[in-house]
Order: sequence, then C-alpha cells, then structure tokens
Amino acid sequence: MPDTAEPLPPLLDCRNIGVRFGGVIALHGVNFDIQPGEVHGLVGCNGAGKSTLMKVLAGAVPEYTGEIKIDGQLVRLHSPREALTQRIAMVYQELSGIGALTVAENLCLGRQPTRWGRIDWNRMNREAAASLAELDIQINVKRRLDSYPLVIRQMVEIARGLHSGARILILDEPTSALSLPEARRLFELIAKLKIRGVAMVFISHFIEDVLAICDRVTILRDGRRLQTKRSSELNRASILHQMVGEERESAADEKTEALLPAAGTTMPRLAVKNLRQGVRFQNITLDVKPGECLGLYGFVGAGHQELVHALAGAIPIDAGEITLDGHRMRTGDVPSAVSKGVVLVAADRAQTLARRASIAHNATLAHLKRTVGSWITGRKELRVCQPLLERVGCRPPNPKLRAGALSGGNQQKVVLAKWLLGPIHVLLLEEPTRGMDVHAKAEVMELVAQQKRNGAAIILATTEPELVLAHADRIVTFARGRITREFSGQRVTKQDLMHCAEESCSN
Amino acid sequence: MTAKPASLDLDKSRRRIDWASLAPLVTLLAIMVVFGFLATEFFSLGTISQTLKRGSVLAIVATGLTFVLLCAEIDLSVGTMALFSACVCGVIWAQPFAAGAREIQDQRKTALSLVDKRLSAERKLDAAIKERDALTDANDKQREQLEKTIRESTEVIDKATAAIDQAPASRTGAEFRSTAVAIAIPFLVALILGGVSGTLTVSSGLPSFIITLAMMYMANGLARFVTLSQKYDVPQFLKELGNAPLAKLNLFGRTLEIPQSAVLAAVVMLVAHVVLQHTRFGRYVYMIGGNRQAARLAGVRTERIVIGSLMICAVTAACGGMVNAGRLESVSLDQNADLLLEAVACVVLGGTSLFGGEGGIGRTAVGVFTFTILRVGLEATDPARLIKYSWLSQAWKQELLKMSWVTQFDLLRPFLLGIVLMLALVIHGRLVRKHHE
Repeated sequence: MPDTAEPLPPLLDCRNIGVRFGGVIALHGVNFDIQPGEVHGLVGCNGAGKSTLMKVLAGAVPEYTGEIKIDGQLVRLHSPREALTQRIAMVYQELSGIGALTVAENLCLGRQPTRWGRIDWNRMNREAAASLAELDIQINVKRRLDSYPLVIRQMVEIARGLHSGARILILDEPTSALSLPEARRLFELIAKLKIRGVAMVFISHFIEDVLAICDRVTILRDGRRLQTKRSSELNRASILHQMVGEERESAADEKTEALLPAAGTTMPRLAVKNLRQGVRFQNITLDVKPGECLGLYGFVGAGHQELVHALAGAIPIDAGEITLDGHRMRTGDVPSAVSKGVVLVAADRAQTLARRASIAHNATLAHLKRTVGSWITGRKELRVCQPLLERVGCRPPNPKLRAGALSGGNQQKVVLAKWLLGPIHVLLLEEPTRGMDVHAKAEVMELVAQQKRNGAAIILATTEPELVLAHADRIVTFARGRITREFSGQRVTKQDLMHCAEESCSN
Repeated sequence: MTAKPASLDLDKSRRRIDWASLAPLVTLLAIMVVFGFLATEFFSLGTISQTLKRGSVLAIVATGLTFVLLCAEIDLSVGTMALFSACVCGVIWAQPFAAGAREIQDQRKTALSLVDKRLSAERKLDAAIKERDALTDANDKQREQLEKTIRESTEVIDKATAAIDQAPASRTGAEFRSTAVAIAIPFLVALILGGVSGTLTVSSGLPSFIITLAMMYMANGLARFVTLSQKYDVPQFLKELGNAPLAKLNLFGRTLEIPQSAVLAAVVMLVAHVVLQHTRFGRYVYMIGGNRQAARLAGVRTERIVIGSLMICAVTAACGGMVNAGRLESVSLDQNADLLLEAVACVVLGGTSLFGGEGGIGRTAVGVFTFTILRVGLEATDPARLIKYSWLSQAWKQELLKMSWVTQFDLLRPFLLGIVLMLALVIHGRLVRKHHE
C-alpha cells in the first residue's frame, strides 16, 4: 500500500472519525491523513461525507468521535478558533471575504497591526502586499476586494489562511465557479504553496483537476472511505466508477443509469435560442416539448440553475430569445411568464415561501384573482385551499397553519400547489427534492409527473444525477455556463453524466 | 400514520394561549388599571373624550404607516409631510380666490362674537329700564344717564342684529368650493410626493429608510418656503373637524363628547382594515412583507404595491396634518414635530412587526389607544396629590413633598413615558421571539 510506503510521519492523522446528525450517520469511522507539503484530493458524490469530514477538521462539527493527531499530538477540535490555533484554515466554496473592505483589510482581518491602539494602515498595506507578492499575486491591496474577479478573491482567501500561519489549507470546490484560465492560475498557486511545504486538501467534483494537481486521492462513498491512492495509480474512469459504486443495486430509489426514450417529433412547447447572461451561462440553445421532462444536470455553478430562473423571468438576460409555442416571450418579467403558464419552483424555499404567513395565503398568492376573486374572505379562501391541500397530500391539510410549521416536503407541496391553481404550460424545477426524505421525494415527483401527463413541459435542473436519471426523458449536461452534451434515446449512466459535467475543463 | 401526531400538535397549539399576539392588549389594560389608581379622575367620560380627541390625528397617520411597515418598508417623511400638507392648505386658503369664502367666514365669526355682545347689551338695557322705571323723584341727572345707557345699548343691539342677519347662516357655494380646493390640493401634493418616494425606493434599490429620509427634509424645506415661516389660517371646516364634537351623548347624567376627528379616524381605520383584509392589494402588502422574493416569483408586481403603500401613507399623513392644524386653529412650522416617531411607536406598540408581514389595523388601534392613554394618564397623575391622600405619617408627607421628583414631576413625564414604552416593547419582543422558536 502506498500509505505505508510514505517515509514521513503524517502531519495530520485522523483515525476512525464518525459523525452523526440526528438519526443520519454522515461518517462511519473514516481514516484520513495528510503529509507535509502534500496536495490531497478528496472526491465523492453529493452526500458522501466530504464536506462533513472537512468541517470536522475546521472545527465546525464539535460532536465527532474518533481521534485527530497533529504532529503526533492528540487534539480535539471543538471550534473554528481551535482549528486555527492548530493552523488549519478552510477556504469555502462560497466566498467568505468581505467585499466592501480592501484587500489588505481582508488579509489582516482580526489581526490588524496596531500602533498606539490605532490600526497602522501603512504597515498593514505593506504586510499585505508582501504576503501577496510572495505568492506572485500582483494586485493593489488598497482596492476593494469586490473590485477583483473571483479567482483573485479566492487567492486572497488562500493568502489570508497562509497569513494566519496555516500549515494545512482546506480548499472546498475552489474551481467550480472559475473559468479555465482562472483555474490554471489557481493551480499554479497551489503548486507554489506545495513547494513551500503547505499541505492542502482539495475537494472537487472535477476529477480531471484532482488528478492533475493532487499527489494522493481519497475516495469517499456514503460516509465511508473506499481507498486512498497515489493519483498516478488512478484514472478518471476508475475514480468515477468507485464514487458511483455500480455494484450496489440495493438502493432502488437511487438510479445510476437510465434508458432514455427517443425524442418525439412534436413542436416544442418552449424553445431557447442563444441565451446569455453575463458569466452565468452563454450560448444556451435547447427546447422542451409538451409532456416531456427535460433534465438539466451540472455541478453547482454550472449555470443550469440560473437558466431556469432566467426562463421564469426572475433574472434578466443579456442576449438570446425564448419562445413559447412559437411566440416570443418577454424576458425578465415574472408576471407575464406566470400569466403564460411558465412557472418556477426555486430550490431555496426562503425564496418561494413566506414562512410566517398561513398555508392558505401562500397557496393562493399566485392566482388570487382567478381563485378567490376581488373580494377576499377567509371562507372563500379555505374553500379553495382545502381540496387543493388534499390533492397534493399536504400533511396536516390545515390551511390556517403557518407554512413554516410544515416539514420540508410538505412545504414544497404548498409551493407546487400555488401553481396548480392556474395554468401550467412549462414547469421549471430547480432542485425540487433537496433535503427531503425518500418518501417526500417520491410524493413531490409524483405531483410533477401528473403535470407531465397533463401535457405540461417540465424542465428539471439539478446537481443530483439520480434525480434526472429517474425522471428525465432527455438530459442536457452543463459545465461552466455552457451546454456540454445532450442525451436522448440512448442508455445513459451516472458516470456519463458526471463525465460530461466536467468536460469543458479538460478540453 | 403521519397525520395523527400532526393533528395532535394542532390541538395543542389551539389550546395554548398565544401570549405574543395578546401582549399589546394586556399592556393596554395594565396601563389603564395603573392609571386608574394613580391618575386623578381617570375613569371618567372626560378622559375618554380627551383620549379620542388627542389620539385621532395619531390614529390617522399610524393607519397609513401600518401599510408601509407591513411591506417591511418605512416612511420617515410622515411628520414633515403632514406639516407641509397643512401649510399648503393654509397658503391656498390665504390666496385671493378664497377671499370671498374667508370674508364670509370672518363675518360669521364676527356675528358669533356679536351674539354674546348683544346678549350682554340686552341685559344691560333691561337693567337700565328697570332702574329708570323705579326712579320716582326727579333725579334728572341719574335719569339722563340711564337714558343714555339705554340709547347706547339699543344701538349696539341693533347693529349686532343687523350684522348677524347679514351673515350667511348656512354654507354658501363659494365657501364650499374654496374649502374643497384648499383641502384637495394638499392631498394631491402628498399623493405625488408619496409616489415619488415610492418610485425612487423601488427603482434605486435603496432602502425606503434613506429615500424617505431625504423626502423628510424636502417636505420640511418646502413647508418653510411656502409659508415663509408665517402662521396661516385654515378653513373653518378643518377647525370644526379638529375641535367640534359630532355628538354629545348623555350618559349617567354626564355628557360624553365624541369629537368629529375621532369619527374621521375611525372611518379611515375601517376603510384601511377592509383594504388590508379583503382586497388583493392588502393581501399582497402582507405577502410582500412576509417574503418579498416569494411574492415576486409568484408573479406579484411588488414594485407597484410598495409604491401604493407609500402613497397611502403620504395621503394619511396629509389628512392627519390638516386635522391637527384644524385642532390648533392655524398652521405654523412648529406643528407635528414628534408625529413621525409617535406614529411608529403606536404601530409597533400594537404588535405590527417592523420587519413586515405581521400586524394590522386592529393592532394599530390598540397601539394608538395605549400611547394616548399613557400620555393622558401621565398628565393627570399628580404625585403631590397622591402623597397627600396616602396613609403615610405627616412628617413623611412633608419630607416627600419637598423632594425634587415631586415638585418637578412635569419634567419627568417624558422619561416615564419612555420607560413604559421600552418595557412594553421589550416584553412584547421577547414573547414574539419565544413564539417563533
């Protein structure tokens, strides 16, 4: 085994790390170690436990079992502060720098050099410029952080970790929102840090990236470590194969492959041509037919989720056109889209549900005039909502209850119910089953299937390959804001999808 | 299988008293009980009349503000908007076109004062005649003086009668038209300014806090400019609205005056309540406050609703400002200084959330009552009197009465008002937080 062949003692050694959230076991006794000056890749599907493991190291999950040794010393990481004193720094996927502050202020946040109790600005700027120059990052440290592109912000975040004296840097999906040249620039920085002896954990969906810059790779699946190997002994196919775990057929709800039907010849209900929105997505051309479910699959930041928002008019577009049944639609106008039956169920229920308002008020929000009329009374509203809630199977079916009191699945049913009161020609779904249990997932997707049978066109945008495999008739994969491939009338597997979701990076 | 525990939960929540939503009402009752003990003659019809009269302006303004707060916005310009509208009203009333109406009202006012004068002259005349008739001996000098008094009194009476007869008893068409213009134009101006702040709020993406802060200064400056810092008269209609009772009810041998302004406030609140509870506009106001993004994604034109709410708020502010000017019988720049913060305090005291989506006109009414009763009660509270009637020994009383907080109690009133407000709001805030956990 390569592990035993390592001559150096590990810088960080985790033994038997276990984490459970309520009844769900997120990690089953995982072993994980990092050598000094090593880039260690961590890969796995959604929910495999990558983020949980790294949160343990960052001190964000204090209730873990097992032991962590740093330089052979047993440590307990109960808080992010303790992790920092152990010189472990995490660079999150979502940017955590403060855009309104200058680069220097961000770098020195929390430990600004002072002089007689006041911040010594000159020294701070000097120090910040010096520590960035060490990494060959030549930027003006006096400018605001948000005036720089994403990659620079990410590099500043890394420099900030180093400035605080970190020996272990955890990079969570650093390349998912970066363009190809930007990603290369980041890799150069990682190589430089490696030479300086900084150990790094690189978490990514992009297997090619992982293979390109990591010395060793650990593969996680369902909260267990499958193996840790030198990256030279691995290739992309073998990693994908292990991540997905084809041999396992017990979990019927998790489809790993599907046979897609051949595309019909009917006129498309909704057609999109050359749609572009800033850096989020470019050159998007696709269509969806009545009674068809089009799956859009990609990683976070691939642009497919923003696309469905744009189709619903929720965000404006820069170029391109959207046609519904051959008629051009107004873009960036939600009310007109709703009146034409193009409706969106967004992933974030903080955007779709007023939690403190009653279920009835939420359910009638979109089609108040159509269903209740101009004179609103509680009784009329109940008469509309009661059968509706029973139809969607909301439990409890009490329209007077606050929407926030419902479970996630039932909240989603209320969000869907809102649209059932009006015409649905195109149903746009963004992560419709996120965070739900198996039962609730099935119920929500059954409601969607009903609409499909009624002739609605469904567009399902998700980062979960199982979901599109189970429900889509046609699948389009996205990577970095572009369409990479369309699957139709053929057998498609989870590996195929994940392969295509990272394609543009390797090409 | 899952339905059962859920319905059990429901029963439990139905049985539990919702202290968070009852808190404002409990506060109101508690304040009334406390002042029942402390204030002089608190439970009397006079207190009711006074509360109604003083609360009505606040109630009108707070009603409009409720719309804005329900939208999770705020309007800081209500105070100066009220002032500016009243000033516009006063300035228009002073224009030449309204001269005829003013003259008529002046005549009526003079006639009204002449009625008293005539009455006293008549008394004087009667007395003089009686005295003259009683004179028996030929005291020419005295008789002559009495005759002179009689002549003068008769003259006064004749003149007054002539003036009273000349003054128009009922409203004339010209008077009605001028009054209508003087009241309609301020409403229109407020509507436009409210629309401006609303449009700028939604189009700039800045918080309404900032935009209406600017509007607050603009309205204040405009008020100064149009009045040139002078005091202006207002139409008689507003004076009556602000002061005259609509009805005098006889209850238990005493009279309860119901001010016209209170009736107006009640009508405004009733209309606002209906709009909020039974129209789509009202529902959208609530849902925008509950979750603006959800409302937007559901196809609600949220911008229009926000603009509409700010316009409603500006119009009620104008209405409140004019009623207040009528109550004070004129308009000058020192009016409505505290109106904004008092109105916000009322709405929040009633339990409407500053973060939108929760509350209503009924709650605002409770808030206005709480605030007004608090003020009226504090004014009727006299610690010196309380000490005098207490069971303390004479020496203690002497000592206490000399203490500065007793002698200078007037100056302490705002402090006590603040203390009670703070307590009420903190307790309510805690209850609401507990409720949501």
